[in-house]
Amino acid sequence: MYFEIDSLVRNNQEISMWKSELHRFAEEVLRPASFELDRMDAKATGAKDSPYFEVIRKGKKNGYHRLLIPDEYGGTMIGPLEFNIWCEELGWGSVGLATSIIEGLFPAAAASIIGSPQVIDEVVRPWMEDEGDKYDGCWTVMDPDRGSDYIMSFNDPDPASFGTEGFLKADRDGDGWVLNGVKSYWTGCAPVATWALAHPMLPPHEGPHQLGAAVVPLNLPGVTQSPPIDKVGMRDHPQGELIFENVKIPNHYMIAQAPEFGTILARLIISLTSCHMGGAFIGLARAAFEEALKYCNERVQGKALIVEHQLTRYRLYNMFEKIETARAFLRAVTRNVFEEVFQNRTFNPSVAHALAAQTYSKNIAFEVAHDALQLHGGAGILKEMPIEKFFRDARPGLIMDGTSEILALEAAADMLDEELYTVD
Amino acid sequence: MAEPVAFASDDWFRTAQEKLQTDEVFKEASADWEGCVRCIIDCEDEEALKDYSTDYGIKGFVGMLGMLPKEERLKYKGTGLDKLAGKLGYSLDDEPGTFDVAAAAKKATELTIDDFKDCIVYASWWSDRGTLKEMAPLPPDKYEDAPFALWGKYSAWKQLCTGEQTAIQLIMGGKMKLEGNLKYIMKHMAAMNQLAEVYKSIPLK
Repeated sequence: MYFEIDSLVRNNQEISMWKSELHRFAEEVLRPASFELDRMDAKATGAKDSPYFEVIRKGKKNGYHRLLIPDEYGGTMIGPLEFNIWCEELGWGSVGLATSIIEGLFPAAAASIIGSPQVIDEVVRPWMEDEGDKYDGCWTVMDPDRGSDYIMSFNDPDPASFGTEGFLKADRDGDGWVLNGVKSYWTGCAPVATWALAHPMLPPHEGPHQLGAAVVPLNLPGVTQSPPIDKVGMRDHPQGELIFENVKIPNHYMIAQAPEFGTILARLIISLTSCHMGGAFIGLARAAFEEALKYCNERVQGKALIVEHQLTRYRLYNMFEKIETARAFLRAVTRNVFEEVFQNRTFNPSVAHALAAQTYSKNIAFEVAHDALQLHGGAGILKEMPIEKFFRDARPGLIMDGTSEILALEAAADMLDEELYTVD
Repeated sequence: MAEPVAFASDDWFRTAQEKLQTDEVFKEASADWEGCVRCIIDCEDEEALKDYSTDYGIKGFVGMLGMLPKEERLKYKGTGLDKLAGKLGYSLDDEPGTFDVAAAAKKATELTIDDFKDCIVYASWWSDRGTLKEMAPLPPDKYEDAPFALWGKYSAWKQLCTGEQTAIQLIMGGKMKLEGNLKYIMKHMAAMNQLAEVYKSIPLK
């Protein structure tokens, strides 16, 4: 653990208890399962008897699937600080499993924010009542031929120039909708989910800015879920492809069907996910830092513990500085996002700040994991050392949810357009 | 507790006007807002059929039309609204006070959804830097170039005004359609939300 500089946490017994309980869960449940899943064959990680589902069940038993759902639907709506702590502690246990647990509730959470009473009855309430693994969600955005450049369309003056080919598309089908297309093989939780929060392009299909949002049961005819892909890191977070062939959904499952609001919806989602991704990766950075600190206090080189070496101390300090800065920034950003989205329902968070917090957190997670491995020397590349896994887990962060570079460009556009800084 | 009023009736409009003129939270939330929203209420809807089949619903409907000066009311001539009014025994030429509600209520029991075809009511919500400038029924051709237009079925408007759904939920769910500068609207969601809060505080019959 670490000295908590934030007195809002340190002096609040309830929040401190929340933090220590989450840490215990991360240490006792996530960490061991994460290492076991990391060594497993990728396809086996998504099987029903995999430790993955044991984690999901235990998370639900703790009520994690009810967080971010408004109290009126039986949820336990937490505040921004509790949310940050939740993401960071779970991320400390495993950034992959933290991502799975949090993304798993996206379909229900989105339906609870913008869905009709009917979809709340059919999707949100059953989700709330499930304490096993009957339901699990995934969030699917990217299309196979579209990478992070897709995100750039949101701020582009001519989004139609991004084309329409290769996107999951929704068309009217009587009173409902029909979905056709593919969502990329890097869709988190796709191989194991029962529901997807899917973003299709809405009619008249002029460009990616006409973004919709649908809650799609994945047992519908026409849906194919691929097995988990084999990858370098975050192997405990099953990612795979979703194929939609004439998948019919009722009208109320298309929870966002106003194409003119697509860009606003996208920016809202990206702000929320920035808070979650940022928190989980700060947790990973902290985990890597703690491994390095432990190793530096055990390893003797040149007749002294390496923690006594000046260069080591400088390196450890730099890691500490990055983690503390990222956490403080992300907490401020999350407060803004929660106020705008959940508290005031004004839906106007500062996207530039949210993206900055996300990219900063993910970038420093990789840098800290890299430095932590470096401090381990040759031991750092041994498969038996936790730092080896943390380093691999940090790498996908620079790509997932948009590459750091693209997210930064998007944040730059927003920062300038919104005139967050002006010259007097 | 205020007396319940019929939704979108003359009493409802007046109550909403009074509340919006005195609501300090709304004044603050709309301090930067400028521009008229042209509200388009499509009454071809089961909820409208239900409401306008009651005596208070009919009285409120005619009362709402009576808020318009005669020359503006007559601009509805030949529209679906004119035809519906005719079915109830009301002519747009008539002064509202002369209308026989009891007789209309009897006729209303025979109304079907087909009688509401193309029946559209227009209204304004115009706030100018914290001060309510106008909130009233409109003739069909007024403020056609308003910077914002919000369309919805009668039931969607009712859901908004009772707080059952927020504007964002209704727009996202396709039950309402908004034309105008979305970015501007998003920047002023606090005003929109407080507007809905004020509407919600008006008890409905």
